[in-house]
Amino acid sequence: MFKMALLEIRTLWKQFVCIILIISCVYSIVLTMLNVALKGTGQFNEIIDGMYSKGTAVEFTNIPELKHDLFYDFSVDNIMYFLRKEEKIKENNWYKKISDESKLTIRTKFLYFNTILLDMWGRPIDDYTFFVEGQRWRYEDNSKDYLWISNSCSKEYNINIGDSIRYYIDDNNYISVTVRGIFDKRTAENGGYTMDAILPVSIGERIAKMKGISISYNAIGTLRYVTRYPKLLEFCNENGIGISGVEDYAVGLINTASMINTTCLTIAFLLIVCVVGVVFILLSIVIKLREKHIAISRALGISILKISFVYMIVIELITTFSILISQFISQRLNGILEDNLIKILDLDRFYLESSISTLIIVLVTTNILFAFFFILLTKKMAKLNIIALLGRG
Amino acid sequence: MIEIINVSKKFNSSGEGNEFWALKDINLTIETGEFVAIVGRSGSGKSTLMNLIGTLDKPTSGNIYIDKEDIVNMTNQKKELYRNQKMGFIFQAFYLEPTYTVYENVEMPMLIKGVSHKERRKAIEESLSKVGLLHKAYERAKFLSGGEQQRVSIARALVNNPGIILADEPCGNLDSNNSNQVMNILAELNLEGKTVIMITHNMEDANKAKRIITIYDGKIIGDRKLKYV
Repeated sequence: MFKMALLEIRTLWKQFVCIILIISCVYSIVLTMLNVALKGTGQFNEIIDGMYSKGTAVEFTNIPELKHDLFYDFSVDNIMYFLRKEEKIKENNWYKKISDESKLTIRTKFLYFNTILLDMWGRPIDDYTFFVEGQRWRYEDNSKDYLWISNSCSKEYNINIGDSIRYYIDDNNYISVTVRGIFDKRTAENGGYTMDAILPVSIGERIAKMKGISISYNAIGTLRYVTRYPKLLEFCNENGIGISGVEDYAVGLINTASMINTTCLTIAFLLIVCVVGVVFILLSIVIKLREKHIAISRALGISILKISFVYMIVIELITTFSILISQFISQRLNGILEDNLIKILDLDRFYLESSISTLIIVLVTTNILFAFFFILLTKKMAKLNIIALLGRG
Repeated sequence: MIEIINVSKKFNSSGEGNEFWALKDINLTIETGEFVAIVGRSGSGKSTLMNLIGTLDKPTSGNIYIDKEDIVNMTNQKKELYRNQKMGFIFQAFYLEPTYTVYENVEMPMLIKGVSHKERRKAIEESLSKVGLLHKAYERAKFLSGGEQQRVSIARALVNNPGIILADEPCGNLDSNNSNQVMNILAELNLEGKTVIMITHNMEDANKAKRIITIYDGKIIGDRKLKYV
């Protein structure tokens, strides 16, 4: 059968070259889209994860007076604190954990300190928050103690950037930290919180130790929280109070990534279906061209199933070959797309890499569709009237 | 031995009321090793008879037995096996694949049968030697003359070593010289013990057979044995 398939390919090489060209062109787009959807999304997540959970995620628990779970997250590029209000209600002998996150009406924000936003200093970040002044962070700043204070706090106590201040945990315990930035904010119209200072997690951890608060390290990464509770991102001081920030760039990126992912997958699937449909039509034409050959083969004793398999092998070989060509073209397209996505999405880095798994997904999907169409094709071939065809001699 | 018992074949050309009986109650026995020429005018039913013997078509009524085996009620799978291994077809229009080489054309029935490469090669070479075209094995079929193409067609019919050769107007598209060559090959095959059933309207060709069956309007009107030369 394999040899018969090869002979068919040789006989109909012109038609098959057309099919190869069509499949290669469309599939290079399909593969690129799938690369963006499958590989790119992973990277989006990596980038987002990097924003949220590069540093250690620390969870302060058992702070009865606050009834808050306080999350800190810190990385070289960003800092974030967010709050989840939870209450334990005693019911019979059980404690029921109730989260009042849905009841929060305050505007939720996420402060994202990175090189992009550092450029925004001096300009209003949103209706409520301004970066007044600050020092640029460097990588090595990660391990140092520092503090951002509010403008009112700065004025009240005459604290300037670069000052080293004592941050009291309680009456006896304090930490010396350097003020690295000043921000200003108004009280949220809907009665939100005010914030005095932003502390990095490195300090927060020590504060926790000093206060004898048990700390559990949350290794899940904060992306889960961001996607689950995108509206619960808040700033707060160590008392668990405060809200500020800028529009959540990461959440925006999540939405963009999700949109890109869905769009790419949908278009890729539609293109696969379209190509399979077009190839099926072309193959029907090919079979029409070859009906005399099919008739003589039937007279020579080939079964319908066998002759269908011959054409199935033909199309599988052509498809595989075309997809391999597509993979090559797709690698080139990936390069072009990478540069553009970096520009459009304002990313530091983004790379698209063709992978065998994507190739296998495409091959399997296409072949399943072809197998389905071949049932129709086999029925079509079974209807060929051998006697009539041979009689036309 | 081929036994055709009370075979009739009806065609409905376009809807009811346009029935056409191609064969009417045919009874015929062809012994193994016979060389039979079926003659008749165009539309007399001779090709229909050959299609029935070749399992390409099914009679409306009646039975056909080949070596006591009922070929009418066989499964399609068995019919395909029969056509591939027990019968060799030769057509007036040759029906070679023009882009294939002579070798590849002859190879077709063996590929269908699923024979190994080594066995294929041996059988194809033998078959091509019989028709005197071994030297043209790797030429494309489209570059051959009509006579050569028909000889390739014969080689293809022979390659699986079938017991029955069904030739539908094998010389219909050939000049007298090529016709003689083809008829001689068929005669030689018959001498080797193969049953040859040939359809023709050319009496000169028919006279080279051992037996001539004449069909007219779907009925056998003549059946005579000839002294074989």
